[in-house]
Amino acid sequence: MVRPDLDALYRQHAPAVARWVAHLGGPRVDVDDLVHEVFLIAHRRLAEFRGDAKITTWLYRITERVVSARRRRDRARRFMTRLWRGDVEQSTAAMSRLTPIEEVERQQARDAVYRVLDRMGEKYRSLLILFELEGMSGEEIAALTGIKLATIWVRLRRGRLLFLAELERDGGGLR
Amino acid sequence: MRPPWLRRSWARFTALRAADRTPVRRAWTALDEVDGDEGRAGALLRQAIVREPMSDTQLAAGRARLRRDRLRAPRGARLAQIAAGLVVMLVAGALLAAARHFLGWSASGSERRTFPAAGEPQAVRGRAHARAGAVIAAAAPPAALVPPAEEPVPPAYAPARPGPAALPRPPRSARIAASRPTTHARAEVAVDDRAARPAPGAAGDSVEHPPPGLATSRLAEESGLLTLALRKLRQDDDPAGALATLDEHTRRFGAVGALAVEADTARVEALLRLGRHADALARLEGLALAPTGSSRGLLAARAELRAEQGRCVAAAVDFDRLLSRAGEHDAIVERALHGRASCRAQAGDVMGARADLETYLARFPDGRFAAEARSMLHR
Repeated sequence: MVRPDLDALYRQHAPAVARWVAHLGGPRVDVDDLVHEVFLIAHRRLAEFRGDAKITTWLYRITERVVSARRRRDRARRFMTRLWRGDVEQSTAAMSRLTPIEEVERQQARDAVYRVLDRMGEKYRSLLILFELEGMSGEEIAALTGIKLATIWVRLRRGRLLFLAELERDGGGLR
Repeated sequence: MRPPWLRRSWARFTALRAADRTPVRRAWTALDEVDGDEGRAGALLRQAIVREPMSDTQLAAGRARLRRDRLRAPRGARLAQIAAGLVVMLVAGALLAAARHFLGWSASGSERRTFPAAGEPQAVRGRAHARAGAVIAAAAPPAALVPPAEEPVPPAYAPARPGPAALPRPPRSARIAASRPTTHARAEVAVDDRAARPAPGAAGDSVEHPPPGLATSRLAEESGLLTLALRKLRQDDDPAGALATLDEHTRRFGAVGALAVEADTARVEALLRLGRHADALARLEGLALAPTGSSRGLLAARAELRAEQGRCVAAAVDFDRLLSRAGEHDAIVERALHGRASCRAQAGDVMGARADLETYLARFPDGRFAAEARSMLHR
């Protein structure tokens, strides 16, 4: 098995990892920092990668762990400081907006989606994100996560029901 | 009679059990209709999709950062080093305390500072201290040659060289802003570096520069004010407050501050958030904007505002400048292509508009204006 070097790994997979981080982490994570952390861990563990799984599966698992650790830490920090909003957001985000109203609406919708997703269990949350936000099929999710296809369908259906129930509890996401 | 919470839980449980293993073939985000629970959920989820969370520039910067950091010790190892250091300090402290207790050593600063005068009887504890006192007494010069310890030093003897304390200390908010590890703090560091470098052509001339500490303090103050404005704008959702802070920034630092471009960017963003498009455009018209670096966003905003006011010729000039740099592929290029196509269509340049839309679709097939571009091309 030929192991890719870190530079090639980054060039090839960084955009996908960045998307996973942005989707799994939600609007308040620093995507640059987490992508950096993922690839540093990948660099350290590259020697342990035996090639049993696909490299994307391996990277996804690292990403999932890094993001969920960061989310736990952020939750604890929010609990401690009672701050709902995080640090000052990236200034580059401001530059991508077409009109302020569009951007505000989009931000509100993202906040609502992640408010609902954050109340769901991790196994439903991540599958729903991969299916709905990443646009992956069940088979692709199975290949990426290593979960059995039948389990994916069950979790996806349950996750959708939970999402709708939580969305209703949240006032239709328009709170 | 079951309580309501139990009924709700039961209903949820039975709904979850009812979920089967039939494959789910269509995502809610792919649904066209927006009626019904699933359609509404799909519309909401579509807003949360992020196409390109990192631009090509950010990816390149990330790659460089990774090359630099991969040789550093992992964070766990650094923590272990810190923990080992703490353990060593604790053990050393414990050993010192034990020595003091059992051997009568004194590490007290006040006792060490009190020098005994020659021939004076010593009030000492323990044998070791008594021996040390005797040695010091034997080696000490006669009392008449030793100045009294508490004699005040006259001001004339004070050191003439100005120490760091002579420089003004930056205000607390600025110090906090400068030490906070946020994206803005990193940007400030970058700006700080830029400010610290001599301007081209300025080296060796006779212009007097302020002391480095003073310049840093002024920059820290400026960055503190700007951070406050950005926090009001983006975190507290208070564009009016942000504008007031930016006015204060202009009053204190004028238009030549080290962070003037960042302040202008924030001001334009605040004006846009307040819906004051005309004011934002007026502000942008007065700026010399380059199609590179941090000015690109401002240039794109100016082009769009000009187009919004029907000034398509002027808008097209800005769009052309944004698109003149080959190899860039980010949200600004996307906006510029779409904006220029609209302007060209308005001006009757159908071929030009078509060319822009085709380029747009080739480069951003899933872009935010892709559906609109396709429908315009098929019209």
